[in-house]
Amino acid sequence: MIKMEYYLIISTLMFFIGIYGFITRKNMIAVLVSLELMLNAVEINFAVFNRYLFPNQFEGMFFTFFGIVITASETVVALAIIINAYRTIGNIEI
Amino acid sequence: MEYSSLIIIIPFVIFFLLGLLGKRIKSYLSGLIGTIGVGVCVVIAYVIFYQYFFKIGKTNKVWREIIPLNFKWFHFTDKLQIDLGILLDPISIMMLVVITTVSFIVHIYSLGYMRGESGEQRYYAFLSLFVFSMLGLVLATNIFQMYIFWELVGVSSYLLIGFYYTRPMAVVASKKAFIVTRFADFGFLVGILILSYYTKTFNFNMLIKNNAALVTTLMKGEVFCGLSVITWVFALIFIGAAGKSAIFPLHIWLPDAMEGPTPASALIHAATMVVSGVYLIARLFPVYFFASHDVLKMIVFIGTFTALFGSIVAITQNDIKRVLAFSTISQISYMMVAIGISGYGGCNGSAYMASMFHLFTHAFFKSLLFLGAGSVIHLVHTNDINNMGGLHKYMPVTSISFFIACLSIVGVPPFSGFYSKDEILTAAFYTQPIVFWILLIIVGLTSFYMFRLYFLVFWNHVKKLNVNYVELHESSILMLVPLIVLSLFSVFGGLVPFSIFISTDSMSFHTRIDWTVAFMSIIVIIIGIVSATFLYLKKNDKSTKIAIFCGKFYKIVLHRFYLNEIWLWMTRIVIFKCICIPIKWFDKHVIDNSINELGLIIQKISFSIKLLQSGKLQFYILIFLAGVIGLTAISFILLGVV
Amino acid sequence: MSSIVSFMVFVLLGVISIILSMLAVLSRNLFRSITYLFLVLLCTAGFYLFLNYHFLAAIQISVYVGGVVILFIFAVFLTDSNVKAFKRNRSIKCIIATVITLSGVLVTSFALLNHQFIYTNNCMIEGDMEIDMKLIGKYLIGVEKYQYFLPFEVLSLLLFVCIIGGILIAKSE
Repeated sequence: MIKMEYYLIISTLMFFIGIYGFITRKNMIAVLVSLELMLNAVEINFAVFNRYLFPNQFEGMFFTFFGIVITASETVVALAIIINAYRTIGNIEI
Repeated sequence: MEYSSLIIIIPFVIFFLLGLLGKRIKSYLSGLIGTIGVGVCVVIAYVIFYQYFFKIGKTNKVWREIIPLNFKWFHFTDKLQIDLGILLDPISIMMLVVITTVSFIVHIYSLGYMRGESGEQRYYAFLSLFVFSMLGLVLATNIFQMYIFWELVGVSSYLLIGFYYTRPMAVVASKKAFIVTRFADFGFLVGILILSYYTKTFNFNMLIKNNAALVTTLMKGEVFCGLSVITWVFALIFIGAAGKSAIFPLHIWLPDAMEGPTPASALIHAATMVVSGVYLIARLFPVYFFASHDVLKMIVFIGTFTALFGSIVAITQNDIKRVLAFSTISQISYMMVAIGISGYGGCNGSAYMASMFHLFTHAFFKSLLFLGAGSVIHLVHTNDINNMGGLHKYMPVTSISFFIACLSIVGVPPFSGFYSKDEILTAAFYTQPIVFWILLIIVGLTSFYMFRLYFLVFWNHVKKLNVNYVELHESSILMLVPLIVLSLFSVFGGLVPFSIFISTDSMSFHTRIDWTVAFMSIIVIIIGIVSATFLYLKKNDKSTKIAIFCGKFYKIVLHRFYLNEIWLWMTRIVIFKCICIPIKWFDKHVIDNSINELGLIIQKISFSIKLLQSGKLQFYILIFLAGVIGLTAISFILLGVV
Repeated sequence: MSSIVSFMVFVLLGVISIILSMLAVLSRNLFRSITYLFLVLLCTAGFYLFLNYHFLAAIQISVYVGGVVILFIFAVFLTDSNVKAFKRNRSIKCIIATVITLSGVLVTSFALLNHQFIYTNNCMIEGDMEIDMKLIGKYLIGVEKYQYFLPFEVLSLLLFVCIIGGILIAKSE
């Protein structure tokens, strides 16, 4: 029997690992990677809450769905900015 | 007579005009503007004079006070209000005539004297400011307005003494004049405030009315430190007057004030501003007489002493303007003494009238002396009489006018000084004989030092001068005309029947020359003149011998009884060392340091906080996160979840 | 699949995903860290499958694995970040970050372990809870309550704008 808390613990750990990376990494792409981890953890949470607490509704699932799409678009813009910054200053360390 | 307000407004407007235009206009133009402005004032003053004394001034044989203009300036409460206005009565009109005439003459003289000086525009602006404030002073309807203009007069005096601000001596002198008079004015202000506290009015009319009934009734019985409050108040007001009128021991600023341009000295430090103290006491005379007779006695005492002191010091001075300055001190004290010994009403008040009379005549012959001295200084470029001599040949007009002024000041009949001095001496003779004898001695001393000055400058032998002998010549016509006009005033000024116009109770009375007194004074004068002639007319070393014979005493007098040094010691040791240094220490170590420490603490805090605003994104997130986690943990604890 | 086996698989998946995410953050080589991220995302897809959200799992794989990770790799190549020697900074910042992260983990886990979740139906997780694709489609373009036509359209617009923005920003002059 898989309990809800197990999922939540995993997502918490994943989220804070993302935060750790976000704080410590110097490379902007690596920072973005950490951001992806954090968003991923949040999306898991949405799905888990929906499934365990309100199984007859779909809000959580759709939030996850939208979240994934928004993450993708955000990544596109962020990477474009990073590439542009690299072109102008030749360095993407922060 | 509403037009009389113009007499104040015109100089004020000119002051602003010249002050604002500054160097944008030519210097002679500024002189012309100033002179014309004062000329208009002269005309107005004489029209007022004529209208008052010959048309409207007298009702029921009494010179009434006319207040053509009066408006409430500050309306604090119903009881406390300050007015601005114009008060016309015999003494204010007399002062009006003196001030405008002398300043007009001095303006004309300045056109010649100041030509080519840098900052001429500034000079005329200051002169206009002075004329404005002096006229405001004499026309004041209430004591507070008088105080305001009193300070303005002090400021313009300061500005004119420090006119040559590049000379350190002038700067020091101007500061000294300002600080000393300011110090005295503090007493004046305190006196005014206490007076108004008791009487609830500043108005001269209210104070004087019914033989100063207001003061005597409202302040009766109030005692402070063993003396009655009335005595305190009027002594304090007298201190203010003494500061302005250079009465011992507050006279020290006047000799130094001679650093200013000579025409300004003639106007301010001989004829007008220095007599404002006398004017103040004269204005308040009924109050002094009825309410605080002991202060009047004090005035007589101090005045007599100062007169004697001034004339003794004047004998030894070698700076032409300093001699005149000490002579001024002595003569003003004469006026003070005259007010002090005066009685009230009719012939008893003749000394009061004589004081005003002497003020009137003194203004003319003393400014004449100063202008003559200025003429000499303008030529030889030195103030030291030991470097002058034999100038009569080169500048006869100046010499003759100076001679007339000397005769006038020592009181040779029929020159103007004789009449006024004789009135004072007569009054003293019949009221206070001791004072009379001292005054008589002073008359002798005056004649001695004035003729010493005259002989040393214009006769004696020609000494080594700073200038070429060929260049020695009479001054320009612009400087000579004022000398001639003032000479006429000095000769005929005494013929004005003063007792008809001015008296303590505003009623005309008649005086006649007391020939006993006149005879005594003439003898003394002759002694003085003869001894001066004997010592100084020709080159000889008798005077040096006498100086050596007197030894220490001569030295003490030469150094003006070391009063300057005593004051300096007082300021240096007492005020600077004992008061200023501890205060400075407190200021530096307590106040400054506390502020500095506060600044340092804030700086340190800001340095440590600065790290928070590093601009590093990751650091921001770190702090943000720490905050969020900390707050969450705290809220857990507070909510009691733990 | 018996429940004990599925539990074992879940635990394994969880442990692997945590380890992989740690590696993704800590790895010096950027290329490797992207690969670890890719694996973490795959594990997440596994979680969605566990939760019976098949559609989500498919989206996760197609968008993330097919799109985002590829983009990352492109970006790494374009900026040649991988070539540069990657210094690990053992500064005080790392220590502070570790402390804060750990305390954050503690506070959060404490909160969620202490909280009593109200389960509506605890036994419905197993087996047959798969959501019909038709239903999802209806929800996505429906206009009634709890239906998502407007967000769906806004999202399409957002994606469109992002494409344009990406092109504009990354375009050389």
